[in-house]
Amino acid sequence: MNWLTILIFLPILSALVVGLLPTGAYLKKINIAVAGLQLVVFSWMAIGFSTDVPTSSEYSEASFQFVERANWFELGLGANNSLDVDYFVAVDGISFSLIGLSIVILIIAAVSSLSIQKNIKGYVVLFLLLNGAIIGCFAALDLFLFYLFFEFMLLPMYFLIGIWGGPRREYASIKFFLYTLLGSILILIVLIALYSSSYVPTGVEGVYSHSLNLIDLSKAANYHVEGLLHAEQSGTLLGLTWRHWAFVLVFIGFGIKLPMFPFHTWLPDAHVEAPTPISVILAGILLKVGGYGLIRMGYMLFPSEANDLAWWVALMGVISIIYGGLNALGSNDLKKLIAYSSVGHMGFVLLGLASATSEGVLGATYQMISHGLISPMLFLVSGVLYDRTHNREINNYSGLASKMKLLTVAAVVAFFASLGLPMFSGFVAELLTLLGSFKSGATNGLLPHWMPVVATFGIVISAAYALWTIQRMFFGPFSVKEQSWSDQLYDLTSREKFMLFSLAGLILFLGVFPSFLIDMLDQSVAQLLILMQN
Amino acid sequence: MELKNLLENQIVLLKDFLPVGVMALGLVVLLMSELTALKTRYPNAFAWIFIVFFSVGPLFVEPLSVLEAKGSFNILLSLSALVFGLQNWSLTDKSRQNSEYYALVGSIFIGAYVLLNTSHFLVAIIGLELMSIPAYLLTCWNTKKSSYEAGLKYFIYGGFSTAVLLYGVSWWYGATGFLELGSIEVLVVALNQSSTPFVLMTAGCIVIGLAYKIAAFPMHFWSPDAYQEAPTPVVGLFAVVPKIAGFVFLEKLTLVLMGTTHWQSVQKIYLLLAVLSLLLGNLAALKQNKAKRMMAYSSIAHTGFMLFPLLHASESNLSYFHFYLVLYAFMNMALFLFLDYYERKFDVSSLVDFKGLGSKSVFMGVLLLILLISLTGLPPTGGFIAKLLIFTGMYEGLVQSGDLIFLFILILAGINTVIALFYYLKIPYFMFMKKEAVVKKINPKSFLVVNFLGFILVFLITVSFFMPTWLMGIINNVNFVQ
Repeated sequence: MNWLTILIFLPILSALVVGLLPTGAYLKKINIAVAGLQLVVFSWMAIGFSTDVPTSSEYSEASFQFVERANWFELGLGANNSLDVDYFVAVDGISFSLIGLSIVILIIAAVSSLSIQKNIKGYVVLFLLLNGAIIGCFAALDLFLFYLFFEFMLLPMYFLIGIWGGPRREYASIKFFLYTLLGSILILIVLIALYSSSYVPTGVEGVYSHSLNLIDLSKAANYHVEGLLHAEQSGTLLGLTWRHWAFVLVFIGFGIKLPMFPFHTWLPDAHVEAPTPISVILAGILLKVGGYGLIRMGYMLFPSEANDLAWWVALMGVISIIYGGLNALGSNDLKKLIAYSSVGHMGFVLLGLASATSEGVLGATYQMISHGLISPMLFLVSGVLYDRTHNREINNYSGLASKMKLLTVAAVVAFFASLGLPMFSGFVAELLTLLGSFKSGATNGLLPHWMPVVATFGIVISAAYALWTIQRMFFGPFSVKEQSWSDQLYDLTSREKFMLFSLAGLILFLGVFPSFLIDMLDQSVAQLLILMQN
Repeated sequence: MELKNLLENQIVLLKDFLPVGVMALGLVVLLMSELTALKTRYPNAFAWIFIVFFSVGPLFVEPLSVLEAKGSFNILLSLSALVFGLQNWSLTDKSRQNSEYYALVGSIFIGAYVLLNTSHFLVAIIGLELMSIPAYLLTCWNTKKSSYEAGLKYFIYGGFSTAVLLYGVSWWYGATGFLELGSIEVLVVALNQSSTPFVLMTAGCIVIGLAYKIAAFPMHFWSPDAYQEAPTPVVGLFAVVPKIAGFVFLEKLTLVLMGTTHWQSVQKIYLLLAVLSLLLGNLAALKQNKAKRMMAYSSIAHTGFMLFPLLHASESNLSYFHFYLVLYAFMNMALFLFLDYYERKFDVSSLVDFKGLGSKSVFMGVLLLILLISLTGLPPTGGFIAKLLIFTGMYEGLVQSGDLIFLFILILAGINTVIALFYYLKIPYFMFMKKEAVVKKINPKSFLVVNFLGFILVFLITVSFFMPTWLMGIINNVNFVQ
């Protein structure tokens, strides 16, 4: 069976069907059912997923599972050129676990969407399209297909923030769109350079084609000698070879999405204005697309250039960690605080990748999954409060623990997980990352020792804002700004319990039994590292 | 060469212009039928006559030229005429749509056909004038003071640019002894004997003269006013028909010029025109609040985009250029069809008027959204493939010539895509994100034909993404240049 195709096109086809149905609240249940069905399909795939894929000196189709490949089109460009585009989807451990994360988060977000009242049909159609694009983006192994899904995520997101968002939603949505589009234009330029430089034997003697297939592009032999991205191309621009420039463009392009300093400014706006379910998707999945893209297009295609520039990558990571943490410390809006904390946590992904050690890269991928569970939980907590009072100012609340016991439990779990306390998934991820980056200084010498030291200080900052927020909002004597709020502040409903505690369970599970996820990631990370350490 | 010989050659050439004969016959029929009671008995008669003589007729007498040999772009003219005819056929108020209106539009098509299929400068100028003079009148068609102003502006620019063009052509004749863009080798030899400033002057004048028709900087000033004031279906023609014809002629000229030793210098003229059109078009569009005016500037920006492949007119780059041109034509035909729809149904003229219309007509709203995404150049639409190919062409230019100017263009074009997104999104922004302030009058008439046409065009644009090979296949099969 073409399981991946089913996962991608089930929501897209459902979107078309929903488009033809009359509007009504039942559509929101269809939305949940689609994501639930995807979870069933995914579980079925997970049973057949092998964690023991042999690594080899370079990527091949054997490094991936559930491979589906079909010709899409072959566009003749002039007399002797053609652009071959395949419908090529497959997963390795990294993308498979990210798909799993996406489906879980999409279910949570779909449940959370039950509170949407405005223009339900439009919402569900856009949600389903976004769903399909996300899965497609993680599954695609042809860059053209990847880019299609990558761009296709923007438009539903733009409308989801812009129509169903908060008061400044128009500004936030257009800012989100413009920033991300700028990033994808940079990626597009690299994409063009890649396929124009590639020179892949078609099997027929003497006939070559331009390919966008990631596996082909990861092999140095598949580049034309005169292509700008050939490994031995001598041309330089401002002291960097073209391959280095390509990595820089990919790095910035996906860095905007990640987001890293100084391209992060769209994130607080988008998060603050987005409705809760969309914040959940944005923090839980869309930021990971940035990290995933960097791994796939940056590290898989330009491993040695990435190592040459590792110092800069790690520097951006460390700055993001500190800068995001300090901004979170200064934020008074709960959602803004969580948004800045995301900037900080995603900095660890950069630091881990730059270290080029197995601990570091594993930590980076673990961090993506872990943060993909923790930050949605935090956004749900803020969403609960916002639903009750339509206010998110931290200073307006105090002593909520006395009125909302279960919410307090959830908030404490989420914030503790976020600051990297042992037993929670964030601890495993950040520990691995820091281990890797310390080891890098000692072994391959890519990163100086001060970088992990400073990053560790970032954990202290995150502890500071997390504990301080809990203390200000949940403990102490009960008081709220408006008297009327105290009646509205009832404890969690059963739906909210389901969302918050299933996420909490997953976070705890991944914190206590990290080997479950590490087994899945290990082989794929090892395969990537073979390329990076060459 | 004696003038007599010259004219005889042209008469031989005119045999190829059988479709022009059909169209000229159409003009006569249109003007004569005004004298009869045809219009009172059959209100749609003129639209049908127009479709028969300007869309179906030319295809019928010259069916093969569509897919092979030279005039492959003729089919775009026929398509454009068909869209125009159907669009006017569906009009409910036909008081202004008398036979003169159709005859003037028909004359634009004749001019475009002549310009598309000639490589002779004097014939080209006849074609240009056949396109321009009716266009001045059509710009004034709404008989408002502002329309007259726009028409006059258009007229003055047109007169000036024709003069510049003729001046350039006389230099060309002086340099080469030919008034034709015939044999490239002969012309190149002749031009190589002239000095670079001389060739620069010649090429500069001719290119600037043509820039008027394709609405490129610095001859673009007429276009926002003319687009704003002319009847919207006619604007759809302004954006497509003269631009195709002008660009194809410019391409023929470029193929000669790029062979000469002066190309390095002449290229700079193209570069200047392209970069400034792109920047000015996009930046000025940001500040517009009228829909048609904004689209006029967007069309100027697209002109800049289409000039880029001509900077490095390799074989593959020319096919990218043709691909973009065809998609540009589709997109603009559809765009003004939609603007006309919204104008007539909801009385929309400025961008703010789009407020809340998304929920009023979801089908057309979504189609327009797809169209605008395509104009920006994002997947999954044909506009993305077109833009991808232009970018690819610039990359090839960088690799093949090693000239860093192509890198600069690549970056500039990328940044401009982001700018373009900002103003194209304004329409969906008002349509879907804003609540309607005041409930306006809605024209209760059915717009089935326009809906259907819009759907077909947008469908074609989307199919060009998923199966770009069908369009590229046609383009690659065409040995267009000679």
